Amino acid sequence: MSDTAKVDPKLLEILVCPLTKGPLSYDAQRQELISQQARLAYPIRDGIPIMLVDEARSLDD
Amino acid sequence: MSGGGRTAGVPPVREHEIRRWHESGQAWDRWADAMADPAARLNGPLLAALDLRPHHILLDLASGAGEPAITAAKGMGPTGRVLASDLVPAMLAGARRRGVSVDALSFMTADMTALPLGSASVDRVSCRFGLMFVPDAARAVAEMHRTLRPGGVAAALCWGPQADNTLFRLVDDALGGMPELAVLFRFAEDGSLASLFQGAGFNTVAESPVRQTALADAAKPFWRPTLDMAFTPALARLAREDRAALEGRIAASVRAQADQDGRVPVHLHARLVVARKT
Repeated sequence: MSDTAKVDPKLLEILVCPLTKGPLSYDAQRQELISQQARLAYPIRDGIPIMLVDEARSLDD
Repeated sequence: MSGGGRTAGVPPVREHEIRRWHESGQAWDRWADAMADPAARLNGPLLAALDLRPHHILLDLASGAGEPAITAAKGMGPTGRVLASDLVPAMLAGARRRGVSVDALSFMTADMTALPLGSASVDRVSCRFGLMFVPDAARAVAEMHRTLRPGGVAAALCWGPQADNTLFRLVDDALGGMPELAVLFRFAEDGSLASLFQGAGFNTVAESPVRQTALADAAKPFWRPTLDMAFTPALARLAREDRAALEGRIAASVRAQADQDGRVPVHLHARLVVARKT
């Protein structure tokens, strides 16, 4: 699967942060889902959102 | 080692399970098509219990190589959706390849004890042979309850006792007993799945056995997918000659059990729990 695989827009509508259950915003350029409340960015790899806290990037680093 | 030696209730270790499934992903992908028939037989009772409608949103947990998510997605209408999920990205690679042309199918990596979905956001939740691998299974079932809408249904399959599952028993006996296998039978005891779901707040819970027997050709390695998929981390540690000897022992054991037509009965016993949120 190529890196350009697109994430399913319908999936983006219903995903929330697994930690806070709060809303996510989609950063198409970085291919990340941002949880401002948790200060975490969840990566999207090959079009698949990786909704694991262990795999998320801290926004404060 | 007899099949009855496996005890229920053994809690798994998260890191161990992640490694098991990371290492097993390719084996599951490789065998998924060959296993399509047994998979379909197990999908039947699970999908029937879910009573899916074309507009439903189904969350499938521990989707692994893709079932029942792919079959369910094929029956969805334009507003319906199947969310196929797994803790380990390696497990989803094959699922996505097989389901890539199914419009109603989405994939995500998620921990079923911390789901990335809002409360009361899905109509159905399914989990086929996944719950026993979750260290905090009670929390996973609580997450199913939280994400389901009122009136929603969760259905899950886990393995029954090892003694009732010919393929596991054959392979485990040939290996001389595998401690890593005990987790598969964690919810094998009658009623253990039902109490797990009742404890999470589901009001209507029913647990039932799913038993099947197929006749296999003793001359063919019908047991090889089980060996590869359920035992991959153990097999990775075996030298080539030890692996060949192991396969020889299994084949000999199968031949010894064959009837005069060269056939061996392969029994399967799974536990199905169906729970409704009111």
